[in-house]
Amino acid sequence: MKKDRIKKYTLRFGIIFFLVIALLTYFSSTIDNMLLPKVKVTMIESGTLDENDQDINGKYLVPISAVVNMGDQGVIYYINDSDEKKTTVSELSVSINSKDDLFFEVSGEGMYSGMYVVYETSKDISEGDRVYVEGDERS
Amino acid sequence: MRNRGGIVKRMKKIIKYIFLILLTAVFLFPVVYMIACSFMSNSQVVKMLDFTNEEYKQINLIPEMFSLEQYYQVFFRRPEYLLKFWNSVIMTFPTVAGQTIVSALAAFAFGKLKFPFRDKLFFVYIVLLILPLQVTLVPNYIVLDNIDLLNNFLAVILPGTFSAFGICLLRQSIKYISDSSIEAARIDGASYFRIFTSIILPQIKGGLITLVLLCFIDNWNIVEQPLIYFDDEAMYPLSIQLSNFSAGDYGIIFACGVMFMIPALLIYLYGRRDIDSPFIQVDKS
Repeated sequence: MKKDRIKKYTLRFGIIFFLVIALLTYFSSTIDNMLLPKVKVTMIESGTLDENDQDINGKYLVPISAVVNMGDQGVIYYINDSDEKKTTVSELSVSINSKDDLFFEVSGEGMYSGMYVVYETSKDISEGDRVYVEGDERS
Repeated sequence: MRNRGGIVKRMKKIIKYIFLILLTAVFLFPVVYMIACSFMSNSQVVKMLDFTNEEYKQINLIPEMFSLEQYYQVFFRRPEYLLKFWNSVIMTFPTVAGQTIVSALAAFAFGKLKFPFRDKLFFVYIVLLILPLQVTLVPNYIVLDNIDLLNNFLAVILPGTFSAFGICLLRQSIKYISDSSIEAARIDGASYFRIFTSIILPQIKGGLITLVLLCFIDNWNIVEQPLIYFDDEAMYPLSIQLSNFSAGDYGIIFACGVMFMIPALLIYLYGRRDIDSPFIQVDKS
């Protein structure tokens, strides 16, 4: 009798265990994406805010909301696609040269035209965090 | 005199129990340690398993702060571990089912049927059993490559299904069954398949459950074959992932270990009584 009870409970527990794992697996990517910080990104281009300055080499226009401003210095977060399976953000220190109502003109080592920078995020992000890119227009 | 004898006997018993408890503690320690670590925060686990001086900083079984963070990571934030768990299931369950069916049928043939070269063929099976796995890996790889089964779960399932181990194990169980009952069934007009299903199988239930458990453990912990046969890491079972982790994943590995342990434990609990006495249902009369 006791033997049968152990078997019965073991079988029930086994079925529930596998069902729960199956459900979690089925929804795992959805749940994971729901819990990731949602970010919006924009592509940056070389440019300058000074109309008289023709040299745009090493200078980039970045939306104001994309730069964590600390005086002459700032930090931007850009999308790192080195791992195909997950999208992460990397931190980059930049020097702020000038600004207008919409853009900062920045320069920094490791920046390039076509880089995707984060300009809006649903949660705080830091170096190496996985993110979900909303309205992803990257090819 | 009798009193002193009783005390000595009791002392012996106490010493025996202490020894057994210590032995049990040694064997249970890895499991208890794994469960304890799975409830610690990742930072505590990483701090504890810091190998910078090639030695443990500390071994702690009590969490500083009870945390379900590792389970949260495994079940909600790291889908790859759950997918690898199902890879293990896909490789193990068909292999166990296949091996049990094939082994039972083959063992019946080797144990009870009479055909030319029966014992010599069985000797070949025993030789196959003695060969280490690593010896047959490369020939298996070449065969699987020729039939275009590499990077396919069948590459693991098929060789496992036709493993010699189950046949040897079940043949021993079947040999205990008296020939007279089989002969009586034949006289009554029963076919060999009927004899197999109605006489043999009910009597080797314990052996079958033992085979299921051993085969399950063998395939659940599989490491070498997927590494050789699969190029795509997404097809690897969880057993490989558990032994291939980065420093940041220590805590997750412990939680995965607990999840990985549960199916084997359930199968053992389900067939525990039958495994304790694999031949008990054999009619020796």
